[in-house]
Amino acid sequence: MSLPEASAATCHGGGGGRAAVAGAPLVAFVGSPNVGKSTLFNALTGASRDMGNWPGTSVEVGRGAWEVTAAAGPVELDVLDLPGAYSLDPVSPDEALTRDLLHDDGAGRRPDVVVAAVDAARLSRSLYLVTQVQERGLRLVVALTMNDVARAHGIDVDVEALAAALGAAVVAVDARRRNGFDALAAAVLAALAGPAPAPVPNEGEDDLARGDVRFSRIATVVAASARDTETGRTSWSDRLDRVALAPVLGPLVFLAVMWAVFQLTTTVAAPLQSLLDAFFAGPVTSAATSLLGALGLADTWVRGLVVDGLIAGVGMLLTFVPLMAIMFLLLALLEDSGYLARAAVVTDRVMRAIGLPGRAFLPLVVGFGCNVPAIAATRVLPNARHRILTALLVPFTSCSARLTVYVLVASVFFPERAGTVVFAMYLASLAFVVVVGLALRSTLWRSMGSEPLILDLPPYQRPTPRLVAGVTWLRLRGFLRTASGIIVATVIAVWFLQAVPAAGTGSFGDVPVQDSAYARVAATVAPVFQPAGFGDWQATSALMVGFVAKEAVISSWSQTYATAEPASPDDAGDLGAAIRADFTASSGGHPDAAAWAFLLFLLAYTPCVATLAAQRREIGLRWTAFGVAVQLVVAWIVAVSVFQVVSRLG
Amino acid sequence: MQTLRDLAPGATGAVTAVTVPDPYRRRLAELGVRPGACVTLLRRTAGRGVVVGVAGARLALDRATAAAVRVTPAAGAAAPAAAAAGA
Repeated sequence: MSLPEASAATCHGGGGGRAAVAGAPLVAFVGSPNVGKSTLFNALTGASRDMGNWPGTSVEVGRGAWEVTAAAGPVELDVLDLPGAYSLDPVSPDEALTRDLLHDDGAGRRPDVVVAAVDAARLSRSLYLVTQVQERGLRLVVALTMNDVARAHGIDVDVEALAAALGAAVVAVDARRRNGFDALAAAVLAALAGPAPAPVPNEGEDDLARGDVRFSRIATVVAASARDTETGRTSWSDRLDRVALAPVLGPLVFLAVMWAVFQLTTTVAAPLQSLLDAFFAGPVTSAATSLLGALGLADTWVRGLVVDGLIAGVGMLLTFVPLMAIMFLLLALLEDSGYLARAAVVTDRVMRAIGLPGRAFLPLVVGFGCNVPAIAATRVLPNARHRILTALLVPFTSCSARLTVYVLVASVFFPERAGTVVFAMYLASLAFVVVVGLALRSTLWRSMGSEPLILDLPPYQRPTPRLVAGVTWLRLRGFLRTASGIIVATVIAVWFLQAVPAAGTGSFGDVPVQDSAYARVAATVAPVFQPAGFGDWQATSALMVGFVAKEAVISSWSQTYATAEPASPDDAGDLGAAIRADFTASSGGHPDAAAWAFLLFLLAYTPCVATLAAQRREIGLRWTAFGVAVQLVVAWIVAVSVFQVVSRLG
Repeated sequence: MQTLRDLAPGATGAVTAVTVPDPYRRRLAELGVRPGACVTLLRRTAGRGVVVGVAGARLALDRATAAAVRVTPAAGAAAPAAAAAGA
């Protein structure tokens, strides 16, 4: 057997994971969702593995090197963990990728060996994919998983009989306890040493007939190899479901879980983030300043670049680490334990009414805390189209950073009813999510709303700490790798604009904001907001800063008026007076209407750059750019309409 | 014509027809819900969907899909329509 060139199409930008050496045999792991395929992949590839979107798609594929010992010495296998699929007739883009990659990995190469994970407790269902793989004439080894679950349910599978009936090697493995790995490696090497088998024929004339042929084949195989003693039918999974899926208790359990997720990503993450923030603003900045002082650069623009550009940028990136780590951990726990599927069932009817898939509830809930982990949470949707739609809607959920600006503006313009105004913003946020969701769906993905709920409920299981920690670290590293460049570059770009003098006063790095290139850019953009009533450069510059981080809006706004930053958002002092004066002027005497328009624009216009970085990682550059365009257009139209209508109502 | 929604919780039936449009009909078949298969109604869920046991697995189906799967109940399995709510 010749070993073809290793695929040129690696799906991972950085070099964190180690793909196998060129020329290594390509092994594809396939299987239905929830059969332990990824657990097996993680255990076999260990630290060398990496996960990322396959080029040109929003579908995640894992890749890693599996070291096995052959008679002639160690061999490295190049392993692809393909998306879980029930069959090679796809229903989702994720399954379509599995089907495509079994045919051609993008460099014209089929997998040399397919390892199919088969669930011993749900044998006939898991074998459907296997029959399809055999019809394609691919070398096949079956990894039989969940043997302990099968035994607990009274199902007894005879491995040799199964192998004989299937006509393929079958190895029982336990990925959690790491049993059977050597036998699996031996089977894979043996398969590689032989020729590709002849495709198993299937003469059905249409899909239905072909399916029937497979089912009868499966029935024969199962009859020959599995015995069901019908004991232990009601497992503790079923007992837990009596609560988790009950008509009243189920939603209550769900709300409790969502509340916990929200609390963990806000109240628990926040102190850790503040600590990191203080660390970068304090010791790191002082150390850098002293170092620069020693180099004689303490008073030059270099200090500004290092402190306000580099350190600020890296600091911002790293303050997301506790938050993202918590989010990835929660996602892994919810997914691994099996609860997430139950949550999707509970929310199905409500989400269906607003045209979104059930699991989209999780990212949207998290988004009201912070959009960045919410984008990461779209991972829980197994269908790429759903992920893209949800990731585009997450920015319309009003994160807690926007809240500080709402409170400031509301207390300046609507002092007696600031609380009501803020509440109205949250209602507006929900309205945006629903309406934009409906609009996107009806234009881009017309069939999405009518998809039925057909959801496989995996048995509950205790999450494995090792697997959960491993996946959490991989995802965190992936986020940092993608986000670092974007965040640091943006912060430095803003610093640069603010450092360039544009009004004749000051020198590079030492110029008041209102005389810098930044202010010039803001002034150039400001007329866009004239129809919305807040066309002054200070408000525009605040919004531009909000593109970087919503938390920086108030402090930056204060800078543009050269006033002190207010001690708390609801006591705006000088800043409030200045804003009020400017809005009154730019709106032609309708400052309240302009305030509403400004608030709504701030809500919808674009998420912070960290969210955009997360979006780029999850759904790719083009969809992220599309999202920004949609948001800017929607925000502007809403802001202008509201100003025009409210200002006329007097 | 009885459907999955008419089965009493805990009752078993044999599927006679699945009238969901493709590709979902195919997907249900791949998951074990196809003519001739034995399904058990395990419980009703929030939102008037169902959870069925088939081929050793648990499937959650929404109301419309459950109403599109026709079954022949095993003896004495059907619940009277009036008592179907909130079981």
